[in-house]
Amino acid sequence: MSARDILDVLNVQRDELPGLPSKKRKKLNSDSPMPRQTGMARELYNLLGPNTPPVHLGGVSGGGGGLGGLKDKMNLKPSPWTRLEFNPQQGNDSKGIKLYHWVKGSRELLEQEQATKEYLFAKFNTGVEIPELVGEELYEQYMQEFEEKEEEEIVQARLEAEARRKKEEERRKERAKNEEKKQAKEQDKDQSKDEQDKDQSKDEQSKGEQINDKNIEVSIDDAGAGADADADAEVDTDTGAADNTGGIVTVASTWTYEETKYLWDLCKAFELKWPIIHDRYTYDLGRTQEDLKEQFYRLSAKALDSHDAQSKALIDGLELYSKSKETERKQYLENLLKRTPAEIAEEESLVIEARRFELAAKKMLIERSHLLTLLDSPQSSQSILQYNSSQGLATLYNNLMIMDKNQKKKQGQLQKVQNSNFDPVPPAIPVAASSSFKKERVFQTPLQQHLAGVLKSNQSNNIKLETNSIQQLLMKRLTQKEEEAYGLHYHSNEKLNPGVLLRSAQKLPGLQQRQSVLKSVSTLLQELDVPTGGGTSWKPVMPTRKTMAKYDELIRSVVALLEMKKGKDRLEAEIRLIKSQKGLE
Amino acid sequence: MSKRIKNVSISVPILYGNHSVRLEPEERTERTPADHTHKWTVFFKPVLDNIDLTPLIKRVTFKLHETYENSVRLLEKPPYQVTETGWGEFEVIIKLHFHPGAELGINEKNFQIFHALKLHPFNPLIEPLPNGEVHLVLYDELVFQEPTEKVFEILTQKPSNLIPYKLSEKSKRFQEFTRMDEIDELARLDVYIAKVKEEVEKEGNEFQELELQKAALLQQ
Repeated sequence: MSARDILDVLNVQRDELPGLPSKKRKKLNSDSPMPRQTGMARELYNLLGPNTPPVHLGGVSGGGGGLGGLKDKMNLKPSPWTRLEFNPQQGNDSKGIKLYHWVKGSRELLEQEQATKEYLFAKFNTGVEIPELVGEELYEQYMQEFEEKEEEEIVQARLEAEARRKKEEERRKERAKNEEKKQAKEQDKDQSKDEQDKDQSKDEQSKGEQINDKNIEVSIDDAGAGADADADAEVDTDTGAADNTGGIVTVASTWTYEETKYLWDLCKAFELKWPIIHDRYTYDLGRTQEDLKEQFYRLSAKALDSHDAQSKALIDGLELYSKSKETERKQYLENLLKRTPAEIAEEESLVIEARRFELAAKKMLIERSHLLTLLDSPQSSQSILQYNSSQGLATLYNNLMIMDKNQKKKQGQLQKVQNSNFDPVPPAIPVAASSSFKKERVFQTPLQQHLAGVLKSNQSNNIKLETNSIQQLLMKRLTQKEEEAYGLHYHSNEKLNPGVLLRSAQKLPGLQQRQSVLKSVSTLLQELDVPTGGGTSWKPVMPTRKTMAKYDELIRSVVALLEMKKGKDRLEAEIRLIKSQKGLE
Repeated sequence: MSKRIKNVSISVPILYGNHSVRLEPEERTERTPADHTHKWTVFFKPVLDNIDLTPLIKRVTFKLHETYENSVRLLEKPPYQVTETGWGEFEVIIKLHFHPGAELGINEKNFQIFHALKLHPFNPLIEPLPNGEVHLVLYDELVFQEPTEKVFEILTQKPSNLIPYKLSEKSKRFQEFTRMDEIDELARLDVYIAKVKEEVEKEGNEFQELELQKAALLQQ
């Protein structure tokens, strides 16, 4: 069933294309190497209709006949492989080693090629360029120079060690002095208080110094340890030198030309792979790796130097080698490796402690800067007498406000600067955080705020008061509870009639009722088993502000209940009326 | 100083009342009328003994029954109290005279407290004492509404509202007032209020039911 058939069944006319696709198909079929299609493939292919296939179907259909493809491959004749001898070295120096490998191709062809071409990977087989060993005469000369140099170095090292020792002694003296000073200060503390205050500030400073000292001490200790190690090493060399009159010289002199040559050969053979060189070194088993390195480096530096100046950097690098430093480094590394877990832990804890010290120092700095900002306020050099009057207080207040503003501005600028610099400078504390400011703002009760307002208005009216009780009260900064103890109360929006009255006779909103209402209230209370003691004048036994307020609430709720009852009664009456109207009763 | 501080009140707790005891024969003097049966003391004082009201109060007068000689008794300084003998109960007018004068700045009108003298046991809760002792002590507070600055100054010298939490003596249960009494009273009032609220709710529900009933009736 082809696409044509389907189109036929569906009654679709495709007259304009019928010839073309068939032609195309014929063409395609004729072009393709596999024109014959059988089975499912053919059916599927037919379903494509006149359309050109979206993919090359030849391969797909070929996959259908995969076996045939495999057969074709099987039929193919395999290309020959030959086991061939090859020379990995550049040039034809094979050193008597015979190496073979499998190469694709016939033997005749490959042998021909090999004669003309070099081994493919030969270019990767590179060696190290090692300067030629100098002649025996030059060698002797160089060795002499080295000896002289070493002697000089020893002398210098001795001098340095002595200088170091002197310095350390000085430091120790200084430390002792500092301690004495501290003790003296402590003794001073016992004296008068004023001095103590001053001392405290000093002490704080000295604390900072102490911490600094500590840091320094730590570093000194580190340096000291290093120096000690150095000194020890030097002592060792010194003793060595003392033992056989320039021990190094004797050691160095044992480098014969012959041995050096041997070393050179090894270096060449193992391409400066020092561990291997050292491992294979049999001329003198007492030599360390560093000895070998030193000898090689210094000699090659000399050799290169005499040859040409173009490899200046290389020579510098070679001359930088120091045997003692290198052995030291290795010793350190070895020690590091040999540390016990306990030692590791101790070291870590020490590091942490050191960091803590650093943090503490930083914190100190921050606190100090805070203190300095606080100290930035004006000195109270004048007497406080002028501020005793309320007017004086007002001026003081204004002054303080202006200063506050200034300080805020300053801090704002400071902060801007800080933000722009991203400096770890500690931030200045806001003015609001200073204790007195906060207290005034936060702990003022409504009453106190009101009173402060009253006070202000008085001042603005220029009313002179010698000692203002309101001020005094405000100075006390009472809490709500304490205000209650004074019997003070702030009536925010009640209207008060000025004058004296008894609490029990207070005109509370709930009590502003007609006498008749109050009477019914009291009877209702009696109905509810509230002991009213009879009569309309029932009041709390202890008429305080609180009890009266509660009492007022009670009366009001009773009045509400009365209203409710009245409404209910009215409704009941209405219902009765309706019922009677409708003749239900 | 006479400027009033708006929206502020300051109060001083006070006690007033009377003590009364049966007049013993040995206490009688020649001048004691034969029909007098009781000896009583009427008094007025701040709750706390350390509070001095003399800067505020010039004098206190006790107006007794007219039948008494010098029926208005003047007291210039504490203790503000009058002891008398008598046979009948009447209303004593305790009058507080504040220091006058605009320049001083207290500027309060004289203030009256009415006290009904009690000679006979009136509280069934109190066991009658053998000597016929009767105590009627009332707690109240003098409230100065919008006090002048002078009054404010005087009354803020010391906290006057530090009512003790405990009775000084157990026997003075009905002669002293403590903070606990206030707390008890508040609790009691709360109970009453709850009761009334409950009632209000009940009535409200009934009211709604009736309304529904009425609506149903009207629709018929």
